[in-house]
Amino acid sequence: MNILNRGVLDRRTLLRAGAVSIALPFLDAMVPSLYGRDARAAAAASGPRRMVLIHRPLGTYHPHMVPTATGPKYEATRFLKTLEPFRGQFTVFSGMGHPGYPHSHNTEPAIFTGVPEFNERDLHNSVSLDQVAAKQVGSETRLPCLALNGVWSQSLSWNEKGVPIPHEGDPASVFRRMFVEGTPGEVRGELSRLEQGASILDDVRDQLKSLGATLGAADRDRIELLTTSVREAEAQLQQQKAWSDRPKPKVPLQLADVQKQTDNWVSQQEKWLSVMHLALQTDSTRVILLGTNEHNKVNVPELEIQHHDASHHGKDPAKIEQLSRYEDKEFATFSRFLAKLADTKEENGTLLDSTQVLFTSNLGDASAHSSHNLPVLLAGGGYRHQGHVSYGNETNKPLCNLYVRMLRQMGVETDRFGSSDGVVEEIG
Amino acid sequence: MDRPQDPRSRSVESVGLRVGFPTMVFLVACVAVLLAGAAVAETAVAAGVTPQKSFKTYCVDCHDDATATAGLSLESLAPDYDNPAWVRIHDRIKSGEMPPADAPQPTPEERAAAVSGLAKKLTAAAAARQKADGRVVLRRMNRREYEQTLHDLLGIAEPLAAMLPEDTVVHGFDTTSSGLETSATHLLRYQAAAERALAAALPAGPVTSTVTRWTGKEYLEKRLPVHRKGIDPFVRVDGDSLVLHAVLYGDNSMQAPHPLVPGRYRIRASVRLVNCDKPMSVLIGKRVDRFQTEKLMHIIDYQDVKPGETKILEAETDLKYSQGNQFVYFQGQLPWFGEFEKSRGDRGKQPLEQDFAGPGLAIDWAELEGPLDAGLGCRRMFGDLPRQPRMPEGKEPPKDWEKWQVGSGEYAKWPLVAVSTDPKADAERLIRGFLPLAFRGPVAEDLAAHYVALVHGRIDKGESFDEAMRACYKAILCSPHFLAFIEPPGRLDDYAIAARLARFLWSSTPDEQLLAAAAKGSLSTPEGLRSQADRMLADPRTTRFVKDFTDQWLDLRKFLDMKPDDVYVEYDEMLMWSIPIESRRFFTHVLAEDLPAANFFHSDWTMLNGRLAQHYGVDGVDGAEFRKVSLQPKHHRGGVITQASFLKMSTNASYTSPVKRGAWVLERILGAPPAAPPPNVKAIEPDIRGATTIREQLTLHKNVEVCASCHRQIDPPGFALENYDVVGGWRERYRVKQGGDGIEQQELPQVRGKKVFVAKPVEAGGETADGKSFHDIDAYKQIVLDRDADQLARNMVEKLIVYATGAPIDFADRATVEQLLRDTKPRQHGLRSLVHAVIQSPAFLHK
Repeated sequence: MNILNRGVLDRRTLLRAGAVSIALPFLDAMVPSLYGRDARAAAAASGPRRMVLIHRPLGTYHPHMVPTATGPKYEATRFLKTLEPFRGQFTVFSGMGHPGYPHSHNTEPAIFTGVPEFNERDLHNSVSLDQVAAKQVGSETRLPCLALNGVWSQSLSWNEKGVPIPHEGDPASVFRRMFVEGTPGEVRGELSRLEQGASILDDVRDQLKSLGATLGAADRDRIELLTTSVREAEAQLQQQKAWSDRPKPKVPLQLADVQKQTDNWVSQQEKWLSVMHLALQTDSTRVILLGTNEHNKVNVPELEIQHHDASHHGKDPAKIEQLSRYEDKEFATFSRFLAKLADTKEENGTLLDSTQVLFTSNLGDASAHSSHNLPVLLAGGGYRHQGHVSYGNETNKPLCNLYVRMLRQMGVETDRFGSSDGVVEEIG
Repeated sequence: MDRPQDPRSRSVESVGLRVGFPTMVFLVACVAVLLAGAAVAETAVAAGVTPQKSFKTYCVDCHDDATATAGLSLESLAPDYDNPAWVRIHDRIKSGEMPPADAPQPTPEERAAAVSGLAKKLTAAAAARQKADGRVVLRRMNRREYEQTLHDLLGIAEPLAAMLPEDTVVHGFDTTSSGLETSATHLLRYQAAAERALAAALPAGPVTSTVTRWTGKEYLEKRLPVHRKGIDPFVRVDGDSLVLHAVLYGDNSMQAPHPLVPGRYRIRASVRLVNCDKPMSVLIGKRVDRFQTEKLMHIIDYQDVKPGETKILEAETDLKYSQGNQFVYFQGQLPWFGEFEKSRGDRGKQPLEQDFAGPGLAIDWAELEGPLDAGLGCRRMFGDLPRQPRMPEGKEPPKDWEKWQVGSGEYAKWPLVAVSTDPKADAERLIRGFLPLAFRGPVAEDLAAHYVALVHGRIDKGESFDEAMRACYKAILCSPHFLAFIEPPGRLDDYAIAARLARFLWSSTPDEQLLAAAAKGSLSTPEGLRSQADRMLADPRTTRFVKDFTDQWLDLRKFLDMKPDDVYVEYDEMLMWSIPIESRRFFTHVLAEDLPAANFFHSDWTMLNGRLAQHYGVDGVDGAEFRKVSLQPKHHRGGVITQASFLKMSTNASYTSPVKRGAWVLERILGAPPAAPPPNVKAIEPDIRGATTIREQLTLHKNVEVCASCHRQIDPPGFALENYDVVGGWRERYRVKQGGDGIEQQELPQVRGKKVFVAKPVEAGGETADGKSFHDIDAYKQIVLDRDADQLARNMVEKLIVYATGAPIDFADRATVEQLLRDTKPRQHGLRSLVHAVIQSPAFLHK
């Protein structure tokens, strides 16, 4: 693994060197407004900053996750025992949530937005954490960001207009985009498609302009917004074009491995996390959001009832044990992901040091559909980790306060995000 | 009573934007508004009823700058009637909720004067807004309409909606303009989706529809010897027919001929029962993918066959994977193949004897016709121009290419492309012909010329005719003239009305007849509009309205998202399939027969098949097919609210919540959505061990005023429905997981042989907000029907207007709604009459 890693790293360093000398001046000229205005200064000062957001839909059995003691010297709970190798490299927060969210599964699409006014029936969502981060650092990589989730899941990633950004449901297609070279014919085809795309956008802009002249004031406002979207789409096409003929990094995983069908829930999660690790390691993207949506059958021994059923345990001890087994497996998978990041060395430390990984859920206690006291675990990212930070189980401290802190870690200068009323200061 | 210092609730603006009032406290605040506000006072003074100071007495105590209860101060609320806070104020005073009961009350005259004065101002403000901007801000297609439009325009069945971002649901529907933002992602995905749609409409092979038939015997003979081992022990050949004696996986069961290309197909099959004296339901299924992970999506239909008859089964379905990856199959209600194998003992794995005399399903033949509408898109885009294989430069297509098999490798290598001997002239003619279909009406000359020039330019650059044309069609399908509905303020022209009609009733684009009617100007006359609407309602495409509307109104599109707890042992696949169909068939029948909208609240009939009838305890209904069934009081059913779909969607997986159900009834049926709960209330922790009931836990709410104000409205319908369990079955006691103190085991009345544990008795019943007590759902329904039956129709009208127009009910629309209710009263607010009335209303006919 080490040898392979070094090979990949060399390749990556090389690519990065290339990116600095060739790509950046080009991108600077071509991408004026969308991704990464202040990014370069920040990156030059401190090296790349990365962010991974992992969402799990069914809460976590609180007593097995959150330690009784606060600070770094807690006694590990059932789940945290799995993470013992990383003690000191993560912090568990308790007593956080999104104020005003109802107790319901339906808060899922807003877990990373912390929208101040959550209306369950008519959700006007706001921008999600990953998108703000991608705006900061997304221009430097092949993909500004990645949103991954089950095919049938809801989007967790939202843009500033409150429009959900579709996620990728197929690990193989993500893998292909980052690591599989197209044939010369495919590359040419892609290029001509991008050029055609740009000319279609020109058309759209012209038509909007002439429409604006004939319509009422409210419609004109909307046309204005649409025109902004056209500009953003152009910038995205330009970024794609800039990368379209650059060689893709070679990685120690084959497309065929990723394509292998599985109906086993754990191996499906492992597959996503492997692809994510490679994406970060090769600097193909620096912002990744993963939803691990699985309510139903999982085809894993020991897990006899559905995850959703187990999570709504109604205090039935047998169900609680089933739920805990699900979560044992989730924590074990998560721990292996952290290990991969920690084992990947970079110039000034490890990939885990440059990558902040948030592990959370929109439900605290799924049995009560409670949106209070969410499970929140932040790992890596160069923080001064504190083991366990507690705000008190009845507090419901805005999770957005942590989001503000996480954005600052990405180099975004901000005091506010979503429903924040401050910033988390406990982790340096 | 002071609201916590929550900065978000301090501004009137944010309060006004809420759909409901969050707390009792907030209500009090609004009521109070009655008047300190200069505007209202002004009105009242003008009406000569009350001096300003008495309004001050009623409202400003709580709603002054200093107190600003619930964040509302009438001293600083500007008389800006576009601010929705004023509508709330009007409504709360009118309903009598404000001033609160424990505060000094205005006289009835004072109240009436304040209300009517305020109503005038609000109506004037809303009317002015509508005149300037229209009710509906420039709206794009939602992704459902996008897919359907391309399917109808190009005659394809390719899934496209999933390529686009989800649409935001606002005011309960995905048609609401304010939820339909267009992001950069949309613009790029539209390009990819258009490309996919064009590829489906212009496939590499020929675009003809074919009919293929296999006899049962032929089907079996086509199977490889390796497959026969898994089939032969369970089937036999009788003449040309195949007789199934067991249920086999779809891969082994009798299949219809496989599709050669993706598309929409019609299936027909001739079947008979063998050695059966009772009818049988036959499954027409399709293989979805290897793991059948998409539960239920493999069921196309169940159809009943009687002993002695030869029945032709018929169904239509989209098949998206060709080449044997997706196909249609048939199953009878026969023993599972494992059991069947066991029942034959040692011979279980041997081929079945030819004289086997057990019950079976004979399939004489099965037929696949399609793709339906094949070639429509190709004709619309390329007319009668020939298509030929695209060969490498300088090579002629082989002479016998027309004999290549559909779906064969040759077409993949040398795809068919349109050819023209006069490319520029053909391009001009074809593009100009296609544009009005795509843009739903005549197209401005400069726009048409632009697209023609686009093709000509590409041809000049050396692109092939086919390539250049495809590029142009792709550009057309990404144009705002295609994707958005351009409507200048004021009354809509015929083409805009046609587009609205098609969207409303077909979730799609106008067909040629509708465009022709628009061209003649007949949609501008009430009679012409009505006759088109009637034609459209009679068309099978109206099933889309039924599906799309009920999918959202009753959340049926999320029906499969939640699987009930395992204690609901009766929740089998047949029940799961049947439940949402009841509600759709019910809606269809109410619409077709113009039955009163109040049927959605209560009816003495419903649509059932055997499985659902068994679930409801209704005798005498057999088979899988749905039919209208009369209900008696003992069944405790009638209306949408006692249908299993509504009961299941308004609950959680393992326990019912009267709060959730009550809120559903208020919002979806009674048209009185409750406020969101105040922030930071604790969630209820359900206990399925049987120790406490929901009612015991909810009693807590009653004692806290901030909760009680809303729960007085929410809880009654919720507790009225408490006798229905998670899957909509009737219950007298709560079901629990396992035995224990005070817990008994009982046989399920509807499913013989299945036993479940039950704990405490269900406590249904309660008291309505106005103090009328009821002991069960039937008594509750009577109270509501006696109080204000029109409200049920009003709710339906409002939902139809929102869905059909894409904008919420504005203050000025209230008069429209009332007028419409008066007009349709003689028809007892029949649903079809309501739909017609909505179509003829100013809200529908104006931007």
